[in-house]
Amino acid sequence: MITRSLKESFVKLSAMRKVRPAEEEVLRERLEDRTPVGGLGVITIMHDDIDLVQEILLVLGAITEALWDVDCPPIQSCLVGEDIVRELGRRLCLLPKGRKYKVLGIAKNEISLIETPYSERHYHLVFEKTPDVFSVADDISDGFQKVYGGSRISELVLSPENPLFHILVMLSPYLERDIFGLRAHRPEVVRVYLPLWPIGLSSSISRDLMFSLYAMTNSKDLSHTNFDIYLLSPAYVREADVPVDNDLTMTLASCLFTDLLEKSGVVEPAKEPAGEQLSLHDRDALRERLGEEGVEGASLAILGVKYIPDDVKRMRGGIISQLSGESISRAREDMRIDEKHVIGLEQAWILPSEDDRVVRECINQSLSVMSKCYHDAEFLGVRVLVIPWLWPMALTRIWFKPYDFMLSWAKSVRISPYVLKEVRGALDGLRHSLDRPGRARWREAAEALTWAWDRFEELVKSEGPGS
Amino acid sequence: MAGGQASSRDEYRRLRNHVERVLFTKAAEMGVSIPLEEASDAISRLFMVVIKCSITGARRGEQGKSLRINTEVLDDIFDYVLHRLKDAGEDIISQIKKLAEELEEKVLNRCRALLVPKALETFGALEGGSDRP
Repeated sequence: MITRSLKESFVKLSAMRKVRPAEEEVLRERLEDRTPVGGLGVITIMHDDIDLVQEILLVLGAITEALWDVDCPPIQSCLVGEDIVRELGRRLCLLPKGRKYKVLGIAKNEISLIETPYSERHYHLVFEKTPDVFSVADDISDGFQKVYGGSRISELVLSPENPLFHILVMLSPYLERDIFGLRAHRPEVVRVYLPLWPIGLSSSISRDLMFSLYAMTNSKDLSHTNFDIYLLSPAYVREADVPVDNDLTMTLASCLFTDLLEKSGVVEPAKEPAGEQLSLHDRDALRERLGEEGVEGASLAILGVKYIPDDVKRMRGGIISQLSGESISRAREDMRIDEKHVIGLEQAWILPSEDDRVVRECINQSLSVMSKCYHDAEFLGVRVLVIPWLWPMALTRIWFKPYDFMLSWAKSVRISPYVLKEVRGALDGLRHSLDRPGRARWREAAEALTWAWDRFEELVKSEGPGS
Repeated sequence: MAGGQASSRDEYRRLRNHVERVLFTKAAEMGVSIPLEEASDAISRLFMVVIKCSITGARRGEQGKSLRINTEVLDDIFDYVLHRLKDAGEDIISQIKKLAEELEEKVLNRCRALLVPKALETFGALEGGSDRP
């Protein structure tokens, strides 16, 4: 359901499109010249909340409405979930186009729909009731390849409470179809957005989510170094001086669109970025450092956005500094990341036009604010991107040491030995199920899952309250 | 160009003519016969919904235009409509009525009203000042 505030945001986005600076013409030309034949990349949304999925599609539609007459392939969105085809078709008009659909009323976005079986909300139930969980992952990758051929998943939105979806990421190195491009000569960064809603991090029901994060980051056999996982706070902020509400939908749509433009080279940093860019290039040092912390799989970061309330051209140092700090606060909201666990910070300013003074000040002030907030962070990076179709914002990503973060989590929650045993038992059952003919190739994956669970269980037991 | 009323009328006609031209070209290509006389009210309503569903803001510097037709959306909608009408058989008038309702609810109200609210407001004003019967 579209909230009242989101409707207001649509009005503002629509009004913003009338302001067309010279930079927009450059971007439109680049979209025509640089967009690959298969499109900017495939956004895959694996979330059970049909409202969220629908709103992301609509906000992306509002952003790309200005591009309908640009001669470039549309954005590709792959929706994965239970009943999603039927439910989306009930709410919106879908026009079949080969293996894909257009949502009537939305230009420049083609969607595909992959239906999955119902997923239990806890690992032990998934392993018990869906013993063919590996086949489900294979089915999803087969379905994806049939629609997209050689194109890869570029951006992924994951539900925090659907272990079946998490399994797909964990099994990515074992999938017959390389849908994430991990076996490519130069694998591209896959950005995984994990909105922490409806599950928070502070309760024992976050056990399964924490295990997913543990397995994806700590095991090189589950996930890959080219995955970035971003945790998004579910906190909703409505500020009087900002017309765009700070909510998951707007943040996700803005970030997904920005990433696609940046990855394809349609948008390039204005002026020289300062520090390390951290996001797409110069990642080697960050990855090496994370490796020293035992991160052999995906990198883990928290993400936050602060929308800019004032006329961007009038922004002075003090305001920029304040916005930079608030963007960091948004990323940290409800996350309980200890300062000493932070390794790197990145800020990207999305502005509607390129003004030398503003760009320079954004870079200088951001670097100063970030280094004051986190004295010990080893990597800082700032860049300014000019994207006139988005509401201006300061986007912060904070990379941290996953193991230390999980230790803090384990100290704060109480998990009974029984709920740990039930996962172990279900994993044993899963491994035995692989003795059947034709299942041998999944044995390694099951061993990796069991190994990750054993380590995770040790962590929880050693640090749980009362231990 | 004359005053506000005349330019509204011109703008409104320009948009209508464009949509009408596309509809009849596509219908002919797909071999769909639209019974204009029998279904004039139903067609009229469907036609207005389709125009509203495909209205978008004009680009800066497009002289004399406040609105444009988003031709990608228009093409999609006509593909949808004509495919449905092609299979409608003798029940074409009730199918046209159903389509108008469906597009109004699912495309206009749930989608375009959010994506292009200002353009629809502007179109509403043009419609009011167009002297249409």
